[in-house]
Amino acid sequence: MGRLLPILFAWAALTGCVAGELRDLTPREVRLGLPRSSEPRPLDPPEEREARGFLLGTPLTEVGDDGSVRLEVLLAGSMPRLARVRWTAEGGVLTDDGLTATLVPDGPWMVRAELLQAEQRVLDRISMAGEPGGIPVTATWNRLLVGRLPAGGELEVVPPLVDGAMTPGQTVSLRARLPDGTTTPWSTATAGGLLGAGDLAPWPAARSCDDVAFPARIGTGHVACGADGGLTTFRSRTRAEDLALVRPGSQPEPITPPAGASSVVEGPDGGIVVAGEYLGGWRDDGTSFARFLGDRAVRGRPASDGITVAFARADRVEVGAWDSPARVQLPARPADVERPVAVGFGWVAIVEGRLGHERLRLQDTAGRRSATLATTLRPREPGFAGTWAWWLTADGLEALSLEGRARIRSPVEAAPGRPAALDDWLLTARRGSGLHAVHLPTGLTAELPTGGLTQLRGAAAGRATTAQQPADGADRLVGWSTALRLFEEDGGATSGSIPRQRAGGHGGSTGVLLPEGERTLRFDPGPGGGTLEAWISDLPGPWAAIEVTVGGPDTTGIRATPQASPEGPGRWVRLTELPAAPRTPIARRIVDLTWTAGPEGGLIDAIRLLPPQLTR
Amino acid sequence: MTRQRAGLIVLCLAWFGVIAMFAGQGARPLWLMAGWITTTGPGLLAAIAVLGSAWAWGRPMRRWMLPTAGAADRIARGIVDCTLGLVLLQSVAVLLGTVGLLTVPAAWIVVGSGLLPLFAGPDDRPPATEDRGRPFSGWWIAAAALLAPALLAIGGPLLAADEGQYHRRFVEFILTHGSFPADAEDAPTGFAQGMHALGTLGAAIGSIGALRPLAFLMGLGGILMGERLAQRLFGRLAGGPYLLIVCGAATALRVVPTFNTDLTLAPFVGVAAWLALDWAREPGKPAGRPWALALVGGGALSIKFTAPLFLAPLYLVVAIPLLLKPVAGRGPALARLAAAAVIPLLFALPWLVKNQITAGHPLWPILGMDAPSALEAAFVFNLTANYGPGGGLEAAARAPWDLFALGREFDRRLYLGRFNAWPLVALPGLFLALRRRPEARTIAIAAALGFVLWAGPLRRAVYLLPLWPLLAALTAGGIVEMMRLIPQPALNPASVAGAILLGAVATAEAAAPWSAHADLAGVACGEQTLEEAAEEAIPDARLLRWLRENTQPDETIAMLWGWHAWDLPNRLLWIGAEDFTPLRLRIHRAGSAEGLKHELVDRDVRWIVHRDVLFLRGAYPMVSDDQFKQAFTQPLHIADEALNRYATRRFAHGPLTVWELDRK
Repeated sequence: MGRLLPILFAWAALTGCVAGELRDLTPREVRLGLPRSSEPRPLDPPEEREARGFLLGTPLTEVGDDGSVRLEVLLAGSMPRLARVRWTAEGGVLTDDGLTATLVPDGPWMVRAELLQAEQRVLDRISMAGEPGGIPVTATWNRLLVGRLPAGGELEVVPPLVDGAMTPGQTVSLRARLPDGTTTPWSTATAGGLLGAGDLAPWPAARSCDDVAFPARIGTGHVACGADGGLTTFRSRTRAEDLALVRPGSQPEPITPPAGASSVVEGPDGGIVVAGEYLGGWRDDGTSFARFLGDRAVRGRPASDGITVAFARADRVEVGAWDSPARVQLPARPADVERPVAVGFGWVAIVEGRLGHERLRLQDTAGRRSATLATTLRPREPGFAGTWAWWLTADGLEALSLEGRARIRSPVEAAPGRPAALDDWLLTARRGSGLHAVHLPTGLTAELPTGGLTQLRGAAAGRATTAQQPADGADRLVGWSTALRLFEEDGGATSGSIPRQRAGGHGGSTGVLLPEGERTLRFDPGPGGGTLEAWISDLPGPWAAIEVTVGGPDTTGIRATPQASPEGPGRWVRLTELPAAPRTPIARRIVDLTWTAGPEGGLIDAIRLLPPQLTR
Repeated sequence: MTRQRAGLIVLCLAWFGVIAMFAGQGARPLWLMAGWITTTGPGLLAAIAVLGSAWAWGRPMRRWMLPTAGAADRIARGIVDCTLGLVLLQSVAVLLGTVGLLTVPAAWIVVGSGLLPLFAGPDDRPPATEDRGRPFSGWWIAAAALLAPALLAIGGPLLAADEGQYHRRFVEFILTHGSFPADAEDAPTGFAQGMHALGTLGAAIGSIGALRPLAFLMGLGGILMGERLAQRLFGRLAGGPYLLIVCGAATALRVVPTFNTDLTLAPFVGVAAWLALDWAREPGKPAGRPWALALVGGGALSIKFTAPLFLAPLYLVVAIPLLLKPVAGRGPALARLAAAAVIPLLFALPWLVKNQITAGHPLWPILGMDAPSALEAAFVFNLTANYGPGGGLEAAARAPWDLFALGREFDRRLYLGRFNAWPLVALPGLFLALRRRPEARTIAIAAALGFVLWAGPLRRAVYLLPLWPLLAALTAGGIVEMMRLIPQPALNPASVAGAILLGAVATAEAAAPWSAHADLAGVACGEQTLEEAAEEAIPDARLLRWLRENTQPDETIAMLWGWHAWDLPNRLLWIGAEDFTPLRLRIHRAGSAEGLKHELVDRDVRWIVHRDVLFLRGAYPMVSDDQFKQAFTQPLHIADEALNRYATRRFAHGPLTVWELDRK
């Protein structure tokens, strides 16, 4: 052995060197007989182009307790050379500091911000007007709804709800009591109501999955553990392959995501799962698909707004339709955090930078406009709700309207987990106990007691799910529902009595909004006609009846009721087809809408018109 | 072997290698082979270097202490040499580590000092009477086939039980600091130091990839020693069945390629048994055997504190004839035996003293946890939860059935592993054999005592591995004895059928570990990185990668109910497994979420790894409902509340989350 050892070492060193050199020179695919795969070239860091204008159409405003107005503009890029923002104001005293300014108003005011280059060339100009005492409206909260009313007005539900909930078959109406004592049938109400306290539906176990994110509310159902969809499955040893989608009134649908997948986000016909190498989805009929994404791992959890899916990689964010192989590649350096990206309504929010120095960047999905929010430190859990973008910081919840105007900072110590939007309300769990709700259009906040440590597990369609751990009790899931749910997307300004169609709205790509003060929806479908749909909530039991009459001076009225849908409630349900208009002057069509309460609550959900090109 | 023949063989091998690499370009197995040489080969060479050095040191020691030991058995002699040398290397390494000098250069010097004389030293010529046996019979080929996938597993990531949470980190700590960890909040501090010091020698001259090969070779040494014992006790026919029995055990195959402190004890136990046999032949003439036994015992005790459970019976079977028979030189022999039994404590002293200084008890954390008196039952090692069927007389009595016959269910449900059922089958034959072979009785009594001792406090299959070769040798003897009962005309067909049956059972037993080892081919052959392999092997891998990429090495991480750390360089607090007794005790003492936050802040913790765990009430029948609530349920709630209130979740993967403590 004494002589063999040196020989052994020499031989090993020799063959080791030769073999090592050869292996290094040979591509891995050749060595293993695999097809060659071409890894995409790493994208360069996102280039911060010089801004040619502002990101949003108006300055962002925050009203301070002392009545002062803090204004902020976002540049669609970096500050150009030799440029600055010039602030001018009427109706108050303005002090400015670069991208921000503070106005102390003394009456109706108007502020203008100009992006000025070389003190001469105005690259962009935006302005905003307001009045002291609130921007843009006064809001009143009757613990169910927030209404926009003249100061001193009140919002009433007639007849009053017993214990904050409706009874089956009950019909209610809203009226506003104005400061002079007069009433009006319905003033402006916000989209959706706040969660009621009397609608708890507890399940015994809150933590029953191998992933801390599950069980979770996805759309109108839950992604639960166990192929039987039980929410009480013993929490250990449950793998992603054992997930199931549970919807009210239907059998659990086992989910068969790609192996190793654990992230689920909402898609239009089911869920999307993004694994390290695979993007997968499933539909209600049990079919599923998985698409190879490449060898490089996806960072954090994916994001979706129901139509678009986005996920982060180390050098980019990929955005695309959930069932399309085409994806836009946005150069980015997403932070390696649990949720580095959010997508919604044409925008992407990306948490960028290394840990401890994260910043939030807003970018449109086309990659044309982007802005880094310099004043936001260590953002996390970004998301979108309607035209609002929101995120958490160490100090609380922040949100800004992508249409400009308002920026909200609501101090709250947020518990782990993602905030969730419930129509116009943004909910987040408080550290310790309770839910914190922010009414996005007005900034009103409300605290909802829960009991015990609380994690928010998603909210949609008038329902929210929390996981709770009472101090001396067993973990459990709790379902919350809104007592009264009304949909009128806030900010849906009308032109006369014709509602403006806009991107966004309640889960749809084209929303049609109820006009103010009436129960009559009047809209112009345009020459192309389209499909009129209603959103039916997920409340169990018989559906709330919706009756639609479409008519007008030139047409016979069409009476339509929701057609039975295999998808069950909690879906967009087709009401009727609106034919294309003749080439004559556009017909004026009137839709009359009445509704009754379902067994567990009242509802009237969004109505939308899908133009023919978007009709499935 | 002549130089010419050796040279020819090397040339042929090199030529075949070159042919294989060039002619078969693109053929997967050949590239895997090349990859194995460059990936796993260096670690294996480093391990061979350590063992070579041990052999070089052990040879003169054996010649000095045991001039006649293994005179007729070259293989056994070599194993004795290696084992004695390992004890020496280990002791030197432990001493160096104790004074903070177990650095990479020091390791090179220690190992190299053995290798240098080896190159020039005279060959150990066998005596003319040596019995060389039949080393390459079909039994050996079958055993080699069973063990072959382990050659792939030794190149895999160190992620087996305890490797990822303790062993690797222990060695990396030594490599970094030159000394042993002394942090009472970190479990490896309480570990025995011997195996890790030995591993450090290998890792220092090779890489961390040398740990598994070193343990593998030591385990093979134990298996080989068992084969020599089987032949010695029951004749040459017992060697073959022994090989299939010892290698046809799922737990042994799973553990043999891992860096462990169980099967690596087998050569120590085997050598001790060999020495005990020698001594039992002439009880009154101990010669150098007591000192060799003391060294072997010391080496084993320095590796694992449970070593006396298996070595003490061997000391006892030497003492029994001395006590019972009035032989010449009995007094001095007993005195030397007593010394041999006490001396091993000296080897464990560095570790015991360090524990006393660091944590207040020599056997911390097994003892000395300082739990509240009303809750002591809830803050002890829990046999029921840890070892499945539980402790107590009834469970101990059921142990043979559980261990050898309960089957796969036992393995999968309780993660305790299992051996094959041959010991139960061969028991009658063993009793028959013992009637005729007095020498075997010595080992049988020692093995039985060791088994009984194991069945009490340990009861985990892997903890029986040091004794498994002895048990397998006795089993083989029993089978051979039963074969003798078969009439001569039917003996040959029955032998063939028996061999086939042994092989079939061994194959079935080996299938699962065989498959698990083969899964590591990619990483062992360099086609997959360790990180990729780890990501496939453990659910924690993504989280660990996140920690590696996003935390600074000097930041402290608290592990709340976590047990994988793999290659994290950070200081880790409270890593544990099973009952997480130290962590539960710490949280219980903190008393509230606020208290736990202060504990974390005081220890300069920035990151917290949390795993969703659940303690099952039914697994702790020895505690009352109130004790269970205070010691198990409340710590979980306190930890959850502390994170909810005072930390921010930064990353989540499955049941694992990473939190950043809010220190404002």
